Amino acid sequence: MPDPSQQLICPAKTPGTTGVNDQGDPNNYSFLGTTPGPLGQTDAAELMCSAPRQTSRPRDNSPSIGSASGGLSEETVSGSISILARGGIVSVVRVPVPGSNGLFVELKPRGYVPPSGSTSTLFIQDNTGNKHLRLDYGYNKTTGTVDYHWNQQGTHPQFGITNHQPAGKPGRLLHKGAKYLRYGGKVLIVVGLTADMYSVVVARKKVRQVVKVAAGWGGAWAGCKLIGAAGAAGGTAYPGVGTAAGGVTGCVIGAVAGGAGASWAAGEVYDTVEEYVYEELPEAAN
Amino acid sequence: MIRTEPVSPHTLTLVRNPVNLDWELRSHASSHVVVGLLDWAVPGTGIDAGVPVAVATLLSKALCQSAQLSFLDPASPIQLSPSFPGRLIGKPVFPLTTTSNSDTAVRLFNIDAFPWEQRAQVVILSEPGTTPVWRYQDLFELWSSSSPDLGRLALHMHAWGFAFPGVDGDFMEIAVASTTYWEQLKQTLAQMCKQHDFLWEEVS
Repeated sequence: MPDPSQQLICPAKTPGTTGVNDQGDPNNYSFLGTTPGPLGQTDAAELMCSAPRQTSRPRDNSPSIGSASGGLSEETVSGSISILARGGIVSVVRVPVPGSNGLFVELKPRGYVPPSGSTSTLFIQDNTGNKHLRLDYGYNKTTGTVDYHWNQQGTHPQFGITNHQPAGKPGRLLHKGAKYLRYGGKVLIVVGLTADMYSVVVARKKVRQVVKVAAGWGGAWAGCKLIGAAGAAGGTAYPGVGTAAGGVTGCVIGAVAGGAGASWAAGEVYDTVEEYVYEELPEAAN
Repeated sequence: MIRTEPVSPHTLTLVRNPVNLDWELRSHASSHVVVGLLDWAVPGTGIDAGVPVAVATLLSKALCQSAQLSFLDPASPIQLSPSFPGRLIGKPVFPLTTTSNSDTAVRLFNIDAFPWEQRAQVVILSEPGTTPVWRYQDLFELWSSSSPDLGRLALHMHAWGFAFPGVDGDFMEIAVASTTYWEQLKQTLAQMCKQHDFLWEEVS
């Protein structure tokens, strides 16, 4: 008997008369085929015809771009877009600053602030926004000029920065970067969610893909918080700019890595559970 | 006794119809509206943002003596809600407190939900004892627009004028649609400065 792992297995046909390469062949393995069956017309058996047999069920049987036997699956492509787009979560997540008595790095103010109000783009603040250190651009009452500066209330003990203290060139870069991230991040989230919805639509195992997507966003959120907090703590060696830059950069890295890791792990767990309940038909005796 | 350092006096300065764009004013002087920018200098401040207590007390007393104040205050039971589509896109509910009591009015500088320092507060100045007329759309324009039509809004709201936080909350912008009230307000401010040992300056 040939090595089953190297054998090409075509979908079962309707019972034939030859007894070879059909449902009646005792020396071959087959899955449910193109004839109407419990899984429908286009079921898992379709790919088996052109791929070496696997000893376990295929883990990703989504439709492929390119040849039937290889190439990038649409699910993989949309998944890659989504993984990167999850970095946009920084625009909506609050990154904790360890050891700061409840301060967070955020790209938007607390409370209701109209677009015509604050010209700040980066905020290190508490739940209410009452205690805050924010990076602002505009007229500075202390220097008498228009510049990039810090505004702060109640955070001087943590960061040693006074209200209206000029933020210099690093502050300018951070202010602009935060402004782009605030709006660009939301665009990325929409792109990521769209890619995820598409990946669910084209996936053969829709439940598996939904689980992966949900885990991916959950992992991105957790990764942003965790790595962002580490970044903010490390960056506080250079208070203010370092804290914010560390928090934001850590959040983006954590969101991408956490999202990818959680999505992969969820897929593995799903497959393991599925394999556990999957029963392979016993090999027919000669 | 010989002083080794000059004593910095508390100063309140009113600039009439300022034109420099750096002030990022919401209101612009016209035949219908007089605009003023109040600046203050108080020694010993500078670490924390916010209006110094002495200035907040003086301003709230002066405003309450000359008009009835309405400002955004979550403690108020009077709330103006956006329409359903507005709620979906996150338009805020506006809770409004109306008072002529300066102890109540002084709160307007320290409300977290509508932070003065981030220019999220608005103050409507109207005739004492009258019931203000508010529509959500008018209030939203007043709150959110960088250049609201103050003459029209004053008519709609039966208001004498408005006050807004200036840049970083370090100033107070006042736009008044009644020249009579403008003169009255200036007199009240000058009087309050005298009572609170502030130097009063008026420049144009």
